[in-house]
Amino acid sequence: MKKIISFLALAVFAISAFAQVYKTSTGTVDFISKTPAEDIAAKSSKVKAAIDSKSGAVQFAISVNSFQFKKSLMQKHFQENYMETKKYPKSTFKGKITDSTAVQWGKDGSYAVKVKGTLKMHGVSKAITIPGKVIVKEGKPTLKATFKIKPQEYKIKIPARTSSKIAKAIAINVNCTCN
Amino acid sequence: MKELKPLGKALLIISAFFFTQQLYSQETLDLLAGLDNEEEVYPVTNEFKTTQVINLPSLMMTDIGEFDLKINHRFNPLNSGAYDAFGFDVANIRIGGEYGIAKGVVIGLGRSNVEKQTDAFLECKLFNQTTDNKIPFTAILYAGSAYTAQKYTFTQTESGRDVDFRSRLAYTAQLVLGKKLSNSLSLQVSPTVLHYNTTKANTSDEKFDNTLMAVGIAARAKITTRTTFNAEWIPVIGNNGNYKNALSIGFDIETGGHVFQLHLTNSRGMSPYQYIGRNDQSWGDGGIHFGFNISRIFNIVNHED
Repeated sequence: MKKIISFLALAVFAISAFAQVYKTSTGTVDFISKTPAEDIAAKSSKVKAAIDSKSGAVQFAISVNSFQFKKSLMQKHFQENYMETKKYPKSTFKGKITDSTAVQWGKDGSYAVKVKGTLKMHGVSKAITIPGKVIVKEGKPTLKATFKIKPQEYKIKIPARTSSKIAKAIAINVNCTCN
Repeated sequence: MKELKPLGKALLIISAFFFTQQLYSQETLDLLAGLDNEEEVYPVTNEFKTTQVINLPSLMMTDIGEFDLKINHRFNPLNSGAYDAFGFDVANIRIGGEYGIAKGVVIGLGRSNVEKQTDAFLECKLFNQTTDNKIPFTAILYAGSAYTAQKYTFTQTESGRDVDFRSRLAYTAQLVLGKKLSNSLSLQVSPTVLHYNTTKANTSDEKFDNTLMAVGIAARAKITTRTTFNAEWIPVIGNNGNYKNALSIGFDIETGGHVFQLHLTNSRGMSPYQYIGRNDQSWGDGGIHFGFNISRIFNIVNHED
């Protein structure tokens, strides 16, 4: 019995020793919609992100209200008519680095990774694989990714009269330095 | 330890199991656990589609750096008869603008062909409802004045009333209090004080109050994402002769940078001095004006990053 207990204690200790979760609540995500009519861009600097170096699990959460636009009317329309933030206040991503050995957490460098997971926004969850980078510097990982998503896949309705001003695919930029 | 009962063993295993489960869940399922505790708070906005419910100033304010052009139009009442095409032949208009000069501070100016009136106002946000409901409602202070240029139909000697510059001025102060109850429903109460330097008593024994109180009550309900149903009623407290309380119903239609408001109202005027206290039409006898407001926002100064 003693053996079992010490084994359990050791196992628990081992898990907590190796599993390091890096986190931030001040990551940034910005997006841009480019059309000949106009470019629409917004940025959030209140992105919550976490990555577990052992399992390669990653998680992101953004309050959709935290996106700042240059034109406040656009921001109001974004919140009210497109993202419906009162109903769907948060967008989240939960996923995992497909090859957890791809990153050498103890060594400075830029590591290309693929993250497979579920992006949930506007109440719609979709499986998605995102190519990105983990940049390790002085023991701290920075998560970077650039990818595109289509609003219609997340049931974000774009009326015919504004469809020429909003891109079919919106470019998303992620940049989160975790501690 | 050898004496450990089977029950004790089971308990140990179960508790160990839960302990590891908890660890497991912390690692893979809820990495953001520690971060999520600090709830982010944002001001509630989009209570209405524009800064007017119908006639009343709404809970929305023109943002800093934005200019909102207002074109308001009321036809004459439906009971005008066939000769005036049931009001269609006569246009009562107010053209005005509002500009956000600072965060939560708006100035506005308008000119109406009703009584040749020019009105100006200042709006200040006192506080804003928050998403965490710690501030449960929004409050705005609206203060303004109007100058009525229309020539008097009487002289001072025959009426005994002042006809100087001061007599042409009126003032108002209003609190706009309200709450966005749900994605679709917003409610608003607007306690108001109005002061007219001249009352419009027609005979010398009529004595109307120069200062009136009123409590505007307004609501909007969404029909679709970009269309809403609005209603407002402004009962006046005080001796105001035969003037009627304003009741208006209408629809907002949002098309990108424009908001079109279509409505039925018993008020011809479009400034608070007219639609609250100088309203001579009533719904009961067909004194209903069809009208519309057009709001167009121009971005003058962009927000900084």
